[in-house]
Amino acid sequence: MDYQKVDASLALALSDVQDQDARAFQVFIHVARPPGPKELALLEDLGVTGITSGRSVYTATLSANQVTQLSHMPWVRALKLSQKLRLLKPDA
Amino acid sequence: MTPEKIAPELMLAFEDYQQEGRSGLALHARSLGVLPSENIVKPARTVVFIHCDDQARLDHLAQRGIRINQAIGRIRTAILPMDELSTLSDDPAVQRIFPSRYLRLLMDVAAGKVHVPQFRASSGLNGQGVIVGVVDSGIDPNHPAFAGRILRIWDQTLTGPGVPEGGYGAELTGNLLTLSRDTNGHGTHVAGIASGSDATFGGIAPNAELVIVKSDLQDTQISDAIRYIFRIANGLGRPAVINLSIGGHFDAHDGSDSLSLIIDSESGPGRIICCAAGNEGNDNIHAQSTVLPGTNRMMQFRVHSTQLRQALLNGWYPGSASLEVSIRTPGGFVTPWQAVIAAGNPSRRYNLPDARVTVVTPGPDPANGDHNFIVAMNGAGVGSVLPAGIWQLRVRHASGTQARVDVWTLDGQQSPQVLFSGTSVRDSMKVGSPGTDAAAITVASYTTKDQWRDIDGSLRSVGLALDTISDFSSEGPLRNGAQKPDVAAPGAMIVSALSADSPASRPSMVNSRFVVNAGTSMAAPLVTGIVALLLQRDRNLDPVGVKALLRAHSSIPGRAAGTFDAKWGFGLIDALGL
Repeated sequence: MDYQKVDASLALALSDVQDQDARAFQVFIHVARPPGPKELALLEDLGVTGITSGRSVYTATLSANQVTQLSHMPWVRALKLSQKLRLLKPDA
Repeated sequence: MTPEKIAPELMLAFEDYQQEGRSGLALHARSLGVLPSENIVKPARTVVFIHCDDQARLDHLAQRGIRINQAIGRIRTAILPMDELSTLSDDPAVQRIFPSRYLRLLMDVAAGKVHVPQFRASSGLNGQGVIVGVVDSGIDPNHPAFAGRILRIWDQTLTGPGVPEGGYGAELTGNLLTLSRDTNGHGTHVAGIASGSDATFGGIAPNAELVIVKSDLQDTQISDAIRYIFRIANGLGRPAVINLSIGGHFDAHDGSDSLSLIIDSESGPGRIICCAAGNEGNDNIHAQSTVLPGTNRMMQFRVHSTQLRQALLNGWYPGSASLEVSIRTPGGFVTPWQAVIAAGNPSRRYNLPDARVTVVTPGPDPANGDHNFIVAMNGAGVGSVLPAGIWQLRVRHASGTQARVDVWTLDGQQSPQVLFSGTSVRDSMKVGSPGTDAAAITVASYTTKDQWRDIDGSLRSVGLALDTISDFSSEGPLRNGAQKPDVAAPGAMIVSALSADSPASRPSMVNSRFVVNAGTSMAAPLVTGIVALLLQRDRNLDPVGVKALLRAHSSIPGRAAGTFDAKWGFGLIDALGL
């Protein structure tokens, strides 16, 4: 794992993972440059949808092993864990 | 009197008043802005809309007791003694006089407060041809306020093949719309404010069409939802505005987070996103400390709940500094000082007698070059609760320039249970993503009403100061000093559509179809609706153009035009001159 590309939240989540192959991590994939055909094919293999050339951020649900694999790709700039937001009304 | 200038229903009220005096106005008082007054000294009065030329001078009418609220404008409001209706109608500058309609509850107050009815009346705009997107808890597809106008629902929570933007959930159209349910009610209420169609409690853009995404609120899925809605709008050749009445505080609070970057890239001409500012105005979720080289700083926080299993701290400071982090538990136990771990796994776990603490201190974030650290606190044993009481975050600066540290608490509760205390508390920087995005229109809440009659006829009230910014509305600016929120709009107390599948309480229901609610969640869709009207007029309006328009028509009472305030943004919007 190249931890320099993994944000603090994802690093925290990865520290608790039991099954390295379970697709347990919803992530943002930030690319350093537009992915080429081989790179787009890899993203498709990983289950990334909405693949459109020219985008700099993709979303995916990955396993810890897949996160590790992507972190070593030179065209991947950062991997960030999805966060759960909440509805903005004052009362519970 | 010049009767042809007076709307028929107002003329009828005047004639009844002429024949029967005050008692003749009693029936009209239930529907029109007529104030019969039992005080024999105080005359019966009426509230009206006056149509006139934009620069018409009407101030001379004040000597007849006719109080006109605006000095310029083609449509103005006024209150006057019923006896002076004749005088008003005879003034050559007055073109038409319409009664104010007493709509009985709150959406009228909200929209009227910001002059939306006048803007719509003068412009003829209603949202026709515009897509309003709502990413939220869903919508009641059977509610009459939306009849025939919901184009699609992508219900991300259902099992299904998904859509091109995300292979999950189910896309529903036509008769299948009813497979999706809004069991929370929030999304239905929000959609109603932006675009509900109802004679009494209608929304801002009642003729817009709706594309709804019911989300479980993971921000990756919200990103997918934004791309989905704009793709649908592209396919239909329509301008679109999306409402996001959602937020959190996991981000850097500077617009560099992933969701904000996606909003930036997806926004553009005819592609606008409105966000709620947040509701932590009364909650000490943010602390700040400036750490000098060679010194320690302590930031104290309290875990109030005895039921929490986990809480997090999200800390940020400039990449030019390098701090060490430690935690002290209520039992007095401390973790070792942990420095930045630039290579390898930056996460370290500490098992203390009263808690398990994980501290994550990676190298600089590539998105903004700053350091982010996270502290996760859990109960001592697996499944056990977090010890309540006073905790301390300690930061130490070995060398280099001074560093300002900003930290936010996160506990996953709708009402925060982990709050800072002491001298490091800061009532600032509480707008979180996606409200932090530069391209988004971020909306604070203004209180226009604090009472309502519920479905059982009981008078209900809330302890909010009227006609000012709502105290719960989150303050800006952003961590990098950027000005957020952008504007304020009515967000309390707002009546809108009630989802039949949601558990509304009778005190909050005004009838079987409409319910009252509050929050910046309610303020944002009011602006979303206004943006829909603006897009109907100019389909190529971009975020910069929308912001410039809204900013030019917003103000903070008692402050100079163009003043920014961390609570108000550039102030309460006024649609009158839009």
